[in-house]
Amino acid sequence: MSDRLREDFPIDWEEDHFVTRREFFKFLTLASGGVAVGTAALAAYAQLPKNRRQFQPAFVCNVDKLTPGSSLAFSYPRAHDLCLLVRKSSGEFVAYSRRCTHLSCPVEYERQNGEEILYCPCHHGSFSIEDGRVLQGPPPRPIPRIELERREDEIWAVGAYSEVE
Amino acid sequence: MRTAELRRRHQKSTVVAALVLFQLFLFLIQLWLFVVVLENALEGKTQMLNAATLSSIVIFAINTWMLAGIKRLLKMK
Ligand code: FES
Repeated sequence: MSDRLREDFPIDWEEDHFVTRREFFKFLTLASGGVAVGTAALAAYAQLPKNRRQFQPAFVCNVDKLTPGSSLAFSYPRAHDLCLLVRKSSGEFVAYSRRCTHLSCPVEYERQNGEEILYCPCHHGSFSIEDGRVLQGPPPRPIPRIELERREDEIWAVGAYSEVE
Repeated sequence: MRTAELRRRHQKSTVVAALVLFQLFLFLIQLWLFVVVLENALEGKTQMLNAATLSSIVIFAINTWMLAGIKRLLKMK
């Protein structure tokens, strides 16, 4: 190899991918910046009023179709989004997604030791009927709630919450 | 003279290695923090997010400051 060529291209092919400590340091600093931005973005996203998602209202059933202490399965907002409408023993209506947040088994409305819950038979997970938070078992997140509206003698689903507020 | 320069180089190299290790340690803490807050956020718990963001930014600032320090150190004769 001529000296001229050596001068112009002083780095051998094998050394082409050599990473110096300084480069590694730079890379780590950049990655650290990326993680900081990611964490900040997560925090910003959590601040957004995203808990409530609006969908087209949909008719669920007539009020007298459910007696207190019973439940009814329906779909909302899309045909494959299974939900459960519950008329609590107090007569109040609540609705939740039917899909367990653990591994998506369908949850059931149950009374256990006098307490009303949403129960998942797959791994014995249970959710509060009041706000959907996890009471026991492996589910990692609360079960999404469906917002209801009473229009005279009819129950309508008007929105979905992604989390407990 | 030659020995002094070699020693200085050796010293620099030790300092740089120590800083790289320290930065790696800080970065791992930052990554762990991110994973923990992400898991918590998915569970609906967001109380830790602001503190974690602040810590993460502080770690990034320390890393940037150390990078500037290393650059200065390596430029020094
Ligand atoms: S799928 Fe519901 S608890 Fe596992």
